[in-house]
Amino acid sequence: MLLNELETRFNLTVDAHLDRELTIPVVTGLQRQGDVIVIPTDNAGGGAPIPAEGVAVVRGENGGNTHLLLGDGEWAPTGTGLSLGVLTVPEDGVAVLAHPEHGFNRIGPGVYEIRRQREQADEIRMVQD
Amino acid sequence: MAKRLTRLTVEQEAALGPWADAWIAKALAPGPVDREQVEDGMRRCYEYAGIPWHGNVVWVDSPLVVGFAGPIAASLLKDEAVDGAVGGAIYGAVGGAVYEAVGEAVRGTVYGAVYGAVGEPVDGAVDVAVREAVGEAVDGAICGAVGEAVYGAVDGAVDVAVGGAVREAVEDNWYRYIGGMCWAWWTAYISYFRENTDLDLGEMWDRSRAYEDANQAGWWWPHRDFVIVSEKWSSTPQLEQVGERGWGSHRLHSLTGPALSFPGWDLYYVHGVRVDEKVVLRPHELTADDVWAATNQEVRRTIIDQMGWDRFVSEAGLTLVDECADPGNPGHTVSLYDLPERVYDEPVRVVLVDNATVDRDGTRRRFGLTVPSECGSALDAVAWTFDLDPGVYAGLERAT
Repeated sequence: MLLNELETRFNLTVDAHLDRELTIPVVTGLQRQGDVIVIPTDNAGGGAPIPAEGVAVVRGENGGNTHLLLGDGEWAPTGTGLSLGVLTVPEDGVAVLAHPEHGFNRIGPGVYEIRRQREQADEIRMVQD
Repeated sequence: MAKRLTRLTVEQEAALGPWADAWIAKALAPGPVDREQVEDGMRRCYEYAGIPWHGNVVWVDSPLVVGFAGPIAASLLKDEAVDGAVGGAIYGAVGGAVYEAVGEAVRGTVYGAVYGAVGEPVDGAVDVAVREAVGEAVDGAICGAVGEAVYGAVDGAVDVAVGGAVREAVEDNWYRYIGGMCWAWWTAYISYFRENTDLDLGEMWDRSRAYEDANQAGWWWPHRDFVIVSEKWSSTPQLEQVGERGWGSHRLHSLTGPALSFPGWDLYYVHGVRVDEKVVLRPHELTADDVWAATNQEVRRTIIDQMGWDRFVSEAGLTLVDECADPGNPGHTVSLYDLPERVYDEPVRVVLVDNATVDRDGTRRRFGLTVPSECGSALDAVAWTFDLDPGVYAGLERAT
């Protein structure tokens, strides 16, 4: 699917300067969206179905720059340490991670841990992009 | 008319959010204020506190002037400032007394036994929805900053500028102020009960109106013989919301001008960190020396963020430890540098990476992430930021 097709499909708009004709591949391996990474895992999965309006796995400052999880699958938030939760995408399903500045990442069937990025401050802190 | 509130009606609960919003907006609105209203409120506060009203109200531009002028004026009146300052007495007789009366009327032990099953305690609901919401958006975000800035100025300037008794008067007494609209949490919380419920606290409501009127402006420094009062901020304070309502919800932040302005006193903040004007308005003029000149690590890091890690790394002459291709970001490089200990308390390295997506200006932002000094290679470092094995991170298929 192209970026503009994903915008139509989920009824949301990403930043205007992003290439509307960019093909967004379905990936089942490791992929990253800014400071959020999607890691294939052997975890059991489970959780609640992703609602039609999506789930904010990271909510940006001022309500903007949110990493929004959409599409097919189940989401089990964990909220401990770097881990944000576990995503399960069913056979022949595709989940989508959307962000205004980074566009879209499509996630194929499988179980994934979604994690945040950290940095070494005086105390280890989460990265805000 | 109720002497005690045991529960809020649906309408009263529904009024909580809008009440907090209205008070936040009122508190943040810039001056000038209605000075007659404020001075009349002060007069009534003095009367409730049993202190003769002197009628000597001096308006100044900023809380900085209040912090200096109040104690200095008191000391020039050949008075021990601490004896002449009556802020504590006025707060006790008016602010504190009303607060306690409201507290007794909405809390209490009977409530728990009889109405425990009904719902949330009235005080808890109003406390969180109004007092904390307003308090954190105004007092927590702004007035903590004002207090620190005044304290910093007192601390830094008094030693050099003035001597002897005056120095002590300022150092020991600048904080004997009442907060004005900085303390909007008080008026928001108290007036909610007064205006939205049938709670009858008799004369306490009159006291609350006096205190509310007196606190429409900025800081005021009440003395037996005078009041020095500051106007409100001259433009709406620039805040960013960083959390839900309540503790730590807002902080001062502006990258285009002062986040907080009084006539003759502009204060610049980046994500709640106070910095010099240049850091905000002319980041292209910043140099590595500005970073080292800052005495506070948060300020140093803010300056580095504003000048950009890539420029800082080259200007500061940091030592390149390792470079590698950026996994998932073809054509781009990850670079690891040693960072002098002056930036952080412990040995740290910084890894520079390019954004995997083009930024609005058509370039790719290169940003730095600090990592522990144990990270031996650029790949180790970037994998550490996600707590992943470097071998796993090397297999990154796509980055955006």
